[in-house]
Amino acid sequence: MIRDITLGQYYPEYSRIHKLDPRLKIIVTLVYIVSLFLIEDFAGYAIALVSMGAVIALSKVPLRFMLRGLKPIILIIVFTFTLNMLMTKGTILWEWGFFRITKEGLYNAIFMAARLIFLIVGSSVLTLTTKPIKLTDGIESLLKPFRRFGLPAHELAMMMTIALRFIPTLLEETDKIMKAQQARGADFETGGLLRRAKALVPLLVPLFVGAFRIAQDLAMAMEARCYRGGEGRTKLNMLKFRRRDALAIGFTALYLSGIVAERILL
Amino acid sequence: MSIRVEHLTHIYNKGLAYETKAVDDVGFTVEDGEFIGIIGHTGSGKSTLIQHLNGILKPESGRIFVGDVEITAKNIKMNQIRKRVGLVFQYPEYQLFEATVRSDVAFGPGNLGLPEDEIEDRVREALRLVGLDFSTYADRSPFELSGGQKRRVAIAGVIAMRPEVLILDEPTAGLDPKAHGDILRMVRSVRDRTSGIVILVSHNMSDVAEMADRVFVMDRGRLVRAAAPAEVFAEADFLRSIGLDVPPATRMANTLMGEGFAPDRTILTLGEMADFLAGRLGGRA
Amino acid sequence: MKFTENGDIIQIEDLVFEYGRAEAEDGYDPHRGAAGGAIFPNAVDHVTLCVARGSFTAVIGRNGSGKSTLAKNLNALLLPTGGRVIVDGFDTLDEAALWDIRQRVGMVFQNPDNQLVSAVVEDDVAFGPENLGVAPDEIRTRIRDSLAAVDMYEHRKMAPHLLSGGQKQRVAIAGVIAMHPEIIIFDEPTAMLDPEGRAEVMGIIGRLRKEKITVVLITHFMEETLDSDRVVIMDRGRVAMDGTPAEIFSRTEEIEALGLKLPFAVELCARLRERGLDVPGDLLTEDELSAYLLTLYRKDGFPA
Repeated sequence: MIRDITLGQYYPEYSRIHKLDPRLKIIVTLVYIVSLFLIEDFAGYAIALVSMGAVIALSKVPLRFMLRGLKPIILIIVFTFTLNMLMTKGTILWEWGFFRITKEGLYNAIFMAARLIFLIVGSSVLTLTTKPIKLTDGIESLLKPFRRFGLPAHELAMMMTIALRFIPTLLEETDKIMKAQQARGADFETGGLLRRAKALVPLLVPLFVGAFRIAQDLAMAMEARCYRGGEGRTKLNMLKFRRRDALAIGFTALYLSGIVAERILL
Repeated sequence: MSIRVEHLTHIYNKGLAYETKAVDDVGFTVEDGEFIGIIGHTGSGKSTLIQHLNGILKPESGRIFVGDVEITAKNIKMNQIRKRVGLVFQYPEYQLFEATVRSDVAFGPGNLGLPEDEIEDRVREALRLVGLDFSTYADRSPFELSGGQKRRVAIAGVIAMRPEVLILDEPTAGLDPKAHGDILRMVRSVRDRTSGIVILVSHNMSDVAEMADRVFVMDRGRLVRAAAPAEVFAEADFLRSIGLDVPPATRMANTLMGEGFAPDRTILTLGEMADFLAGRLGGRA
Repeated sequence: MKFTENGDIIQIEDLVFEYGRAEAEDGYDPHRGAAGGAIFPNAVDHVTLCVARGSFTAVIGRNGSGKSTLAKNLNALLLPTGGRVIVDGFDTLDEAALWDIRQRVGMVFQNPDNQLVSAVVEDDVAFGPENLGVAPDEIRTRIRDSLAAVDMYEHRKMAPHLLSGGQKQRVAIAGVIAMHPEIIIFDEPTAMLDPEGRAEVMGIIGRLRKEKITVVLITHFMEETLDSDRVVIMDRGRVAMDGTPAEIFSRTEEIEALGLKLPFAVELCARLRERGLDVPGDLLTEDELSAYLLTLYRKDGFPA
């Protein structure tokens, strides 16, 4: 059933990584992404691999969930790999007509593919171990300082909260309307592009009308519960910085100095 | 025409940890012209069951025959099913989309590929059957009608396909008492006019008791009773054990029953209760 | 500015509210108002009404009779176009009092899906108190108490879209209770629920009454009004009838003329009376009617 689609890809577990402050996790993820671009050789990747392996082990999320994030971009990885392999000039390892693979090409290909894989798996750790709602809280809190430049931090976060709440409802609504129109003989599955686009009208019109009805109801319900924007509002889940967060900062610093040291020294 | 369902099973989320048998080995036959009421707790599988009857959902296993056509067959054309079986969903007014009542009602017949004049005839007939005057409503926007009127337009959109089987999923939900009565009267008159099969899914035990020839009771995906209302509603304790109830007249008769008040048959409606009491008390109260 | 208080927590004085033609929610059929002018559906037409503190008032009437519009005037979601509404001493036209009024008057709406804001039950309950600027520790306490009051505490970590309709409405009620209101207005809270969900919500309303919270219930189900202190019937924007359930439902012809249905027992008694049986007029529920019939039986015995 459509309602069972899980949002984002949060993996519920009670691990040390799950419990970290979401703000910290967002920042650490950013640091990690930057660090990947500092790495110049495979020794650097070894450090990244060990560190990420440790984090994944601590998070108690099965490895296959981590790797699942790679599925949609597998084509991009293959494409990057092939392009690098074939386009780099150097010592020829293997040649067949127009195609030639060089030693440098192979090295580059593996290097770039590894960077992509590290990038995706690393950011999956963030979404897999952080509830969407916590992620929202974290983003709101991190964006707060930018409010003085006119960035509507609270409004953005509220929009994300409402989107998270109503996407399942809208999916259900879409499913219902689709079935109802099918019962009246609507055909969403066959015909050319134009025909199919036209067939969507009986689905989209009720869906928009429904979305506006929901928006109207929700706005009224929020007003009735004294909603008046971010001013003077408290938060139930005040983000608190704890000992384990300090520990995580320590490890991140250690990791980053490892990467930098490796780059300078080796 | 009749409906025959054999060993129908439907599973949601098959293979996942939370897979559920929404319909579990259900079988029944509905004869031509019968009025069937389906009752069951929310989540008992009523809605899933009826969505199979016009091919919206495909079963995991089992077969469905409408007349002599097996609609679960592999090569079946959906339009062949949908012109035989009309399905009115819950809150059908939320599916309206056209600029005028006329064109919205015409959507179904249009999809059947009928000629224009035939469609026009059907729109007129359907609006008359749901009690909306053609000249007043045909060119108005369905979005500016009242809740009850919108619902009648939506039902007309299904009736205009002239199905031999009309299935309605809680057609009175959320309406005020007057609109509730109007819709039920309309369902009756459509049935009298078309003399096809009507299947009504409802949470209102009185409506089912009053209108249905037979009552189907669903519980956790299974069809646990299929019998005349008097028989089904005689089992008050059983119905309560699966989260249902009996009509108020039956409930009251049961309260009085223990006190030597016994009527000779199951009382289902207010009218029957009034008859019974008036007969017994005969001017002495 | 606060007005002097008497026993009435809500005072509606000659309230008029008209939607602009385009805003009318339910169609454009104007019908003739009592004053002779054309009345658009959902309008409120010179209503004067007081609600006693701690009482349970049921409001019934056909779709478009103005019930919901009246309700939305009680917490300043709509503001009077004429007359005024005073809630717990605050005038709804007084802009400075807006948040005091909305904190005092909680509202539960019809559609259980469209009034929950957050993807987690406890975060949704926190929404109102957060808006009021309540301290986080205090919010925790309020979440616990209000979810416990509607028997939903064990579901506090769930996503609303996985709950049943009745459970969603109970979460919505908890969200209102957490704001510590004086009055809760229920705008057809059971219209979209199955019988079980309806019983759940009515059970909670019964409990709120015991807590001395003023309850205003708008409904289409006549049986739900029988426990109330007072029934108000709206018709075309006006108060058509007003009294205790016993008073109201003794006027059977008038109620039917207003397009409403009688509660089961009341209608049964009316039918019996039509047949010349002398049934007392104050029997409202099945239980009361059964009890009456049984005393009759014990006195004389029924003929076979």
